[in-house]
Amino acid sequence: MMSTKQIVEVAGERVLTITERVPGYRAELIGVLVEVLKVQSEGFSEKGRRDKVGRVVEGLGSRVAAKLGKV
Amino acid sequence: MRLVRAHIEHFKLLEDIKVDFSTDADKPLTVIRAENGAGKTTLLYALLWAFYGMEGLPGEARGLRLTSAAEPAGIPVDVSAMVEFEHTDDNSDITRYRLIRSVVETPGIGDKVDRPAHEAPPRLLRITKAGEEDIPDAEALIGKLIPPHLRDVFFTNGEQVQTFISRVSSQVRQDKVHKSIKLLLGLDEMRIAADDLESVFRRLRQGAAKSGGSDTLALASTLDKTNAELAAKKNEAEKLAERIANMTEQKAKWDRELTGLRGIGDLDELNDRIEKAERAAEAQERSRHAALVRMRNAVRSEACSWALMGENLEKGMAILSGLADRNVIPGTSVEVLTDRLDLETCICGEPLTAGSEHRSRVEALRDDQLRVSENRQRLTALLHTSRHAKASEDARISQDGDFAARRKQALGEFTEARDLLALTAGNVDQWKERRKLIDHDRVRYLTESLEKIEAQAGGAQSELWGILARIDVLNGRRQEQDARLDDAEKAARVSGDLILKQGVARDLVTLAEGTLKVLEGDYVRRVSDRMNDLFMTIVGSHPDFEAGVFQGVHIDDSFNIVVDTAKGRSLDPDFELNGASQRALTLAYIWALMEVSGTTAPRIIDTPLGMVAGGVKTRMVDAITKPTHAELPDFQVILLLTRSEIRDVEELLDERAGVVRTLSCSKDYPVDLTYSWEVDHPTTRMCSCNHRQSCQICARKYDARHGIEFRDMEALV
Repeated sequence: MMSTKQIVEVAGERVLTITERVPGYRAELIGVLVEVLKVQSEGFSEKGRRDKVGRVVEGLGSRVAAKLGKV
Repeated sequence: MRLVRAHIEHFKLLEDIKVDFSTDADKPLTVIRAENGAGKTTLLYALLWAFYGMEGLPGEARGLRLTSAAEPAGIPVDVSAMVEFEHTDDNSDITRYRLIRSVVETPGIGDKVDRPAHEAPPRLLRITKAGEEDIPDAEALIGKLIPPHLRDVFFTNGEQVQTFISRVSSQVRQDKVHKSIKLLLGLDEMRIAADDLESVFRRLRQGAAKSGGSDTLALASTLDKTNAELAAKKNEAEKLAERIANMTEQKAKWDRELTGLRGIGDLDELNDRIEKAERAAEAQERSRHAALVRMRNAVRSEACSWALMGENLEKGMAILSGLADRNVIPGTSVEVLTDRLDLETCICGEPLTAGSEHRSRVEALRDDQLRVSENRQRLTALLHTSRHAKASEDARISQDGDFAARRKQALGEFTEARDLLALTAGNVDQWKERRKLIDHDRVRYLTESLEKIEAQAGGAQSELWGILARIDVLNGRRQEQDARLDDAEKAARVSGDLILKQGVARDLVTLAEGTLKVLEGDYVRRVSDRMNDLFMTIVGSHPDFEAGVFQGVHIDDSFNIVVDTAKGRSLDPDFELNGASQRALTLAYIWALMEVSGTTAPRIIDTPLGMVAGGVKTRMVDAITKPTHAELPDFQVILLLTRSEIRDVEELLDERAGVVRTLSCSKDYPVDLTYSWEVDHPTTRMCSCNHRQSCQICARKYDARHGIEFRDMEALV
């Protein structure tokens, strides 16, 4: 029942403990966390949900890799 | 989310009731004024039914018909509830919805009712400027906006407010508090998110390990095993902790029962008392019997005769003594006359020859005297006997005391022994009755069960410590294996992309776990602190008040609500809080939780102020209706209040209530309602009268006494 705004507020403090791999990385992490939470209300099975979460996480990994010039 | 309006038709006595709710952020309160039986609870049930269907109604109301008992049998009735509500999303965009639930119910004979076996889902429409559009899965959206398992938080009544966290076992209370916190703070969702991310991380690491060759794969496999054991141990620890909590709860329950049984009296002590009292009773019975024997003997004794006849005997003795003094007794003439007849010479000298006339006269005189002499003899004997008896009695009295004193003493001893015996017998009976109340088997069972559960809980606690120690070891091992795998992956030149994705997943797991930790710690603490502020404000207490009862309230680590008093003691919310404080505590908890979690569901309470009066009432209404900060735009409170609940808080309602309506029922005429509605069956009506007004619909006979202004009109909504 907590609003996204509140979750972003809490996660915003915690994310500071994580290394900023590329500029804007921490903000991206919060965005992905919110997206991962939203997946739960999309009616997937556990496997389906984890597959979708996997795609979201890998998407962020690819974006970071692109920024780092690793791909 | 906040309610905008509702239209209820043919739901019980609510034949056609329309109500607008206040959506004014500065006046977020709606008051429905209604007396007992006028339809407050029915309105609450109608709203519950609209949102959740029959499942949403309280257990006892689920099987009931929805139509009025006055509806004729065999004629189908359309029961419907329409609720319009708004929802403000994270971007502050407001969406309006219209929810419609309806069913056709056909009343049968008696309490029978015919309605479809399967309840149809409600219809939910999104209202936009362009028109209205149906939302396909209405129940899912409703479940998200206003979760059904928290309906007793959003829709409640005074009794439930009291029983939400009191009058229930501490385990149930703990469970309710834990569940509501988990739900409203989103702890479960964050837990699932963290687990999902952890699962993705493991999959990515497995992929990276595979690409690194047999060494990295072996290390990953070892790490997986560690993780699997860690998860199993965590699960085991969680279950064990739950078992310990259940055992603790059960132990407390049995302890309370045993204390209750022992409160009647200790069995051994009672048996001892009874035995001693029965021995005392035997001695008292012996004393009573001895005193009775003494009394019987006394009654049978000469002393008793003296006591009863003494006065008359003494009078007789005086007469006899008088006769003796006058020489009437003892008599001597018979002896003289017999002597003369033997000598054959009279006292006068004349011969008393046999056959002579003179002799015959003397003989006749002697015979006469003989008859008188018998009486004298008796009187003489009586005189001597009585003198002797009197002397004996005087001697006995000088030795033993008189009969009256002896009788009084014996009677006193008898009475004392008898009274003592009665008292002892009474005590014995009473103790035996108390002994009967002690269920010996139950006491034995409870004592044995407590010993057993204490041993089990002790064993489980040791086991839990063992598991927690193992979890610590496994955490350390995992960290070490993680680092080794990282190094191995680097050495094996695993693709940088794979390692990066794995790192991103690990960062997300860290973020989700960290966020969860903050929610479980800081946010629960915030709820606890806010609950304390609200509770202390409502009950008018402060920790610095010397004579204050409460030091504060808090939620402990086990999700128990603890009421603190001075000297480190706490009060049991079930038994040691009065009704008003119980309501204050629940409302403070619900309000704090909704405020901290940012929950914006409406709070609808039926008769919340039933047991509340004076300052507590004013402060309670003030606390629960205060317009909240801008971050909670949908704050809305709907109170269903009787006139007596409204009394003394009219000014607060003037200030806070954006809408006040009055609901009345025709059944109250002519006893309470002033005007007849000219209807042939019981029904309810809603008028626009506020808490200071009455009209021809709602006017009640005692309104004038409470300063309610009569408007000479019908103000039907």
